[in-house]
Amino acid sequence: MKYSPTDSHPEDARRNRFYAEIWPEAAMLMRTAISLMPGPGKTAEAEDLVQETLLKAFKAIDQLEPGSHPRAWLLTMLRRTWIDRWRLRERRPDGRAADLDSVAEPTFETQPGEYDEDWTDPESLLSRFGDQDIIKALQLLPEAYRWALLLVDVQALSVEEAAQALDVAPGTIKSRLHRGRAMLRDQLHGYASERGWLKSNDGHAIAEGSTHG
Amino acid sequence: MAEHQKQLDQATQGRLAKLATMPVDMSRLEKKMADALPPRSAPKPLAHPARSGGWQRIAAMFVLMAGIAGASYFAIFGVAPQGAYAMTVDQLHTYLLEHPDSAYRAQTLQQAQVLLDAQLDGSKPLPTVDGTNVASCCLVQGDFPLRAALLIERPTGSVTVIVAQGKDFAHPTEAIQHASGVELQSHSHTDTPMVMRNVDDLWVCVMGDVDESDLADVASSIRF
Repeated sequence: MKYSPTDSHPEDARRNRFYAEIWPEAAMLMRTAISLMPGPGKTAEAEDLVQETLLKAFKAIDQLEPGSHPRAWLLTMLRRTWIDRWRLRERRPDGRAADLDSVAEPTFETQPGEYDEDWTDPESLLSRFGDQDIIKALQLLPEAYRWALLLVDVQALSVEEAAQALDVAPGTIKSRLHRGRAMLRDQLHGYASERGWLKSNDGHAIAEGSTHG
Repeated sequence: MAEHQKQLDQATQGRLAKLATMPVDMSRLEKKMADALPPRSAPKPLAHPARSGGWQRIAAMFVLMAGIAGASYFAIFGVAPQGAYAMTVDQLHTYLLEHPDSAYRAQTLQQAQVLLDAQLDGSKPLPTVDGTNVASCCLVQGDFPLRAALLIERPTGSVTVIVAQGKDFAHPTEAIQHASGVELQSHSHTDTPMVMRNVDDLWVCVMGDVDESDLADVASSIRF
């Protein structure tokens, strides 16, 4: 849709443009926000985050180049809003904001992907997990990896767009994607083991930790 | 090993991509946004051109509006406008039919009424069409604020319902009386038949390639 120059009131024109170009992306923002909120029952918190993002987008809509796709722009705005909220919530007793980057690049006790050899038929096994399982596993990933997966694998941004949104180099995004997917599989491996979905090469179910003790 | 890693990555990526279609309830957020955004400005009082100034002013206004509407029409339809100077109801009807993502759709009159009410009270945005004004197809004296528009799937075809604001939106030309006692106007200025009805300063236009009696049933049944 194009917003018409015949809109007599600037606020009406802005509103029309918002509903034509931004609002169709609101469900995408909502899905991303739900995947960010740790713990179940956080829909209201996700809605607040998306609403704040959409209101910022409404105010800044003139900065969005006419005809450009707003997805990357909105996801960048969602992330900044999320960080602002996170910093406010995690504010230290001395009043200084906590540093999000200090939790963004964690060190690992184990190498991600250590259970990968158990995934003999990954597509079939992954299809058995419901959306909530995937979200739960995503929520357990470190922030930097979760965002890379959300932007590129879920919301189909290019590596370059994600790099711009997250203010890192494209190579960093590629690395985070690879490691993030491996970490996600490790989480899901645990769920699959609990449910008896994994089979060893001799056809027996693999119990949690039985092959990797 | 590298092949297995590639396969794992692709499968993981594919499963994550399915989250992009996960159903989410947007109803509460939609309501919150409607409450939070600045309200739509009140429509400007519509002065009849003949009463609002001299002929020079009328001519200047006509030229200006023809230019603006012509550009809008060209942007939407990609062809030169043929005598149209604003998006007329029949153009809007065609646009909604050809752009299903832009239109609200109702299967029943009850559903249509809910969608109409929501647009009229501002809790639902207008369909994503070009601009906020619309012109009747039988007048050349101005465009009027669009207040609601949707499609109803009738057994014999799709019917467009358009509500516009403006006492002078349409000339009462061919009055017909519906069985319910409601007075309607039948129009046949385009290939697509339409039935209109006026309540105070609002007009509803119901049009589609169906029997006129079906259009009259819809026009007489809905409240606006």
